Amino acid sequence: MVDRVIALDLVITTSIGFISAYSILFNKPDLLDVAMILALIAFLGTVAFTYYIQKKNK
Amino acid sequence: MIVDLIVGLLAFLGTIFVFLAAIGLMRMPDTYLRLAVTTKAATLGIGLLMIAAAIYSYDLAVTAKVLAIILFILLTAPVSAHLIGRTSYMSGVKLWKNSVMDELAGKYNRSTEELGSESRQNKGHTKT
Repeated sequence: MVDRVIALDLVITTSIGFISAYSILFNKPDLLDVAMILALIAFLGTVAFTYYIQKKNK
Repeated sequence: MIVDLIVGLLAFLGTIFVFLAAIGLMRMPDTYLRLAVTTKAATLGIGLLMIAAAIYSYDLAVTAKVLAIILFILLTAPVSAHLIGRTSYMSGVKLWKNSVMDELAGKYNRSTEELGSESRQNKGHTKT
């Protein structure tokens, strides 16, 4: 169960890296805004999922 | 010319680190080891890729954005890793059988959900 949260975190982090490489390759630095939003969503998602897993185990 | 070389080198190293994080997620034997590999390698890889984008664009606005993203990731990655590790320990995920030490062994009471030193708990029991 917790492994899936780790995997979700890694997927979002990898997509941030993908967006960064894409913005280098096609010279579109506006896409870095999306990377910032994704970083925010990754943290909030991890916090929410761990909160609910802990609540379920009580 | 030499800027392209530096950008390529940084992006290559960042990609290698993200790739190592993905391999570690697949091949590590334990939740805690997976967590360690994923957090550290992915954070370094993202930082290198972002610095490559900042050097390539040569723009103040993009550099500020990149520095904000790197600072945010450096702040939140350890916090979320700690949360995941704490949750997995408290929900009873077992350590790998070849793990060297478990410093929390015997200090977490699962029925009362109390986390404290063992001696203090014993003292409380003898007092009552």
